[in-house]
Amino acid sequence: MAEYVFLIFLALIAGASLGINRAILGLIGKRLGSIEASVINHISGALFLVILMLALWLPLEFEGLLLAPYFSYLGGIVGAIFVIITSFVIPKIGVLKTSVLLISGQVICGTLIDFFEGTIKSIPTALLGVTLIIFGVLIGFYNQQSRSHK
Amino acid sequence: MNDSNQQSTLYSFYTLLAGALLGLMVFFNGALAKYVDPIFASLIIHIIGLITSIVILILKRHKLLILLRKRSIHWSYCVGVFGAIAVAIVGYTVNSKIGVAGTIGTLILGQVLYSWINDSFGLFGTRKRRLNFLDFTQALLILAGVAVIIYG
Repeated sequence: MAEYVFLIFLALIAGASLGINRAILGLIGKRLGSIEASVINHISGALFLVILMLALWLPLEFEGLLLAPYFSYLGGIVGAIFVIITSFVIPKIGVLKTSVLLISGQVICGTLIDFFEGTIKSIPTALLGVTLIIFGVLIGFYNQQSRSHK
Repeated sequence: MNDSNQQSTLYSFYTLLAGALLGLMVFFNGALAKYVDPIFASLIIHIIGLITSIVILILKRHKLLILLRKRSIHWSYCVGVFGAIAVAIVGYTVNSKIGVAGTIGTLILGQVLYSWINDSFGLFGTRKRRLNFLDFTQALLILAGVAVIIYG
């Protein structure tokens, strides 16, 4: 039980870290520009991971890198575009709205990938989940309109 | 619809699109993490992301010097550390007792709870925002949708 509590606490901390990461990306985006924010994000993230690898004494698995399919490296390119967009929208719509919309886009995309890969658990359940998410997104649009009419 | 309203709807569409990119990224990164340790995989992905960002910066701004000329608040340069901490924790918890589903669900809940706190207090240099009942309903509906997909 104590172990579960600890693991769940850790995963919550990871979620909060993503929120802090986005908030600061927005701050740098506003001050220096969103592409600059992405450069700084990738430099400091890479440095931290190098330190972590040294601390845990992890091996440099270069053979594994050669075995991996070429498309697995696209994550870096997609990630840079993702960070640039995040840093651009945060000062405009806030951290909560950004996080909620990122989660929506991510989960819908993930569900589509599972669908095309044939690994989806149940299509009706997935449809129900996606419908709830779309309703959530639409409420956000309505909320923006009613707010700006005040 | 007035102008600023149309703009924030446009920003919301960009953010949804960025979320879809995040979904693709998780898929690609997962493919790489099958061959090497997730922390090493993340380091390689960060390096590719850095090269991509520098190329975009040069193409868009025609100069790198802006990074040296203008300064942000000193602690904000740690930004990437928080993203990397999340990567490291997730790499650990997906292989633990709570597994992939437990990790994803809790990670998403943590993001929403933290983001609510961040906006309410305007933490880390963001603007303080007053959140309303519809923001709460929106967050709840999306969390419910995620829960249905993961645990349904």
